[in-house]
Amino acid sequence: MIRFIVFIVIYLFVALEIEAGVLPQIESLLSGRYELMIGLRMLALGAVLAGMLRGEVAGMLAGLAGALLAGCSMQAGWLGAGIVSFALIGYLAGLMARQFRLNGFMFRWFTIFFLLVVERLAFIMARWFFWRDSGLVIPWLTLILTGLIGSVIYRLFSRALKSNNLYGVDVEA
Amino acid sequence: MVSRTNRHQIQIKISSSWRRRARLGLLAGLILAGLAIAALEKYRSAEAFTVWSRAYAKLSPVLDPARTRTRQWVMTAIKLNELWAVETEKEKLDRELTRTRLQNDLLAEQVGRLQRLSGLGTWAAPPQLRFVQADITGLITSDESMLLTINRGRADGISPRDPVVALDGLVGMIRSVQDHTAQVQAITDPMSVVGAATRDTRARGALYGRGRGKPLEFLPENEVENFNIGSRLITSRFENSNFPKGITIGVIEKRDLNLYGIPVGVVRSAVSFDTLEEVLVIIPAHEDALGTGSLGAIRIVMPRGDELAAETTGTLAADRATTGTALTSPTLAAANPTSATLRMLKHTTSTLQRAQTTSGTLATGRDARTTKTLRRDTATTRTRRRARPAPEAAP
Repeated sequence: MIRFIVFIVIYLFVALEIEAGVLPQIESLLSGRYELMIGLRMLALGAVLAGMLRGEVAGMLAGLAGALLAGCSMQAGWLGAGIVSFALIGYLAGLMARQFRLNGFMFRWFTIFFLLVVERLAFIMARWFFWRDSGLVIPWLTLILTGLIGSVIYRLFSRALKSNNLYGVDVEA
Repeated sequence: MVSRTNRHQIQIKISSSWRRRARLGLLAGLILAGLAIAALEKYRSAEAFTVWSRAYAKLSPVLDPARTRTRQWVMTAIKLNELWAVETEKEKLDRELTRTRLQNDLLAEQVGRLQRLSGLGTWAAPPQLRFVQADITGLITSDESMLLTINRGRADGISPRDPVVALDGLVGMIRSVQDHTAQVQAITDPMSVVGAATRDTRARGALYGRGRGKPLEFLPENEVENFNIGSRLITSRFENSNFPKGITIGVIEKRDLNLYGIPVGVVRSAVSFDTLEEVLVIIPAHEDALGTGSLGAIRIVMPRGDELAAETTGTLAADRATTGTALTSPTLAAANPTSATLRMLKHTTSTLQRAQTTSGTLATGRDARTTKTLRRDTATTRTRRRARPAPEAAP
């Protein structure tokens, strides 16, 4: 449990630096020059990974932490919708990890991508519920890349961090 | 319910349904909290923004170094990319420059060749002669002699002893002929002798070659006859000459004495043999035309019409009376229809027509008035000479 907490803290810090510090700078400098759109949903991916590795509660708590970091670091007005969407996909990630083994790379990639799409939809719905100004814009390429990265990270850290109590059997054994 | 496991770990066992309910409750609580925060952000935007600003101020020290460093890296990458693009553009421009220089050199060579060929095209000859343009493809030289190889031969109608000229003047004559090549003996060859005459005083003589790189030697026919330094030598149309009359050979630079003490002229050739590239071979136009052995009886017009115009105009009638042929070549004009050639042809034709008209009028005496006037002038002159007192004898 301690290893997981350390991992998720480090991951959220790195994800915050990447998503709120590095990528906006790169996008602001390169978008006008090369029309390049760079984006990664790294904080939302933290909730998904936590849920897939440690269950619904860990996913929701990691989502809450990620939503706080994203809402407080990027733009005002995103915190509430972020908490809703991140907590929801953290819970769904834990639920899917409880139902599926997630051993295949492509299946894991698709699962993470699906959860990220759900996060975007939930975020847009929450924003729309109050502000009515959010268009249904889903950055597909960003979500696909984020799903790929999440699948790789899961492959690297699942042996050390994955809980054995998700299915009642030891998957790695 | 608390139980002790084999590993002495204490676990609180709760039924799975209660766990599920707890998780759902947590999810519901988070969603409700999120919605509540969103409502606050919507309806208490000022307070929400204040809170957000404070939180953002707390996170800024963490994010600013990464942002600054990222900005520096990205700018460096952009600069490197621009430098790469500049380098690529430079390589492209270098290639284009090299290609353009090569094309420029080729075009300059082509323009020079066209200029030389157009100059050669301004030669004019009687209709029984024709010019064959040839490129010099080789040089056979020994210590003194020099033979030029041209890319024309027997297949082009060239035969030995045909005269060879260049834009500036006489080059030599054909010495040997193969099917598609021929050797030209230059006038600088020690075996070469050309009948020559000064253009101004008409002092005739023979021009001897003294070897490659050495000036020519002009031996006057009349040894005591003086010739001017700076006079231009032309071919003299001797009976035994192979060269048509009027071709420029060179300029007398100074007087000198030969081995026998006879005064000779040191002549600088008008043709630069070291830079010569194209020549014209003068050959009979058809089988029954004049052979090269009697080409000396024919006068041709050199391209430098400005220098030879006066002489050409003055001698046209006499030349026509001698050769009985027109002085221009329709064949050459058709082959080289340049404006210079056409102007020269037109000028020569009009001059010939005027000379023919004047000559015909005077010879047939159609203009009796002019004849009477001439006779009266002659009689008046004779009367005045008789009436003029004899000059006093010198003391």
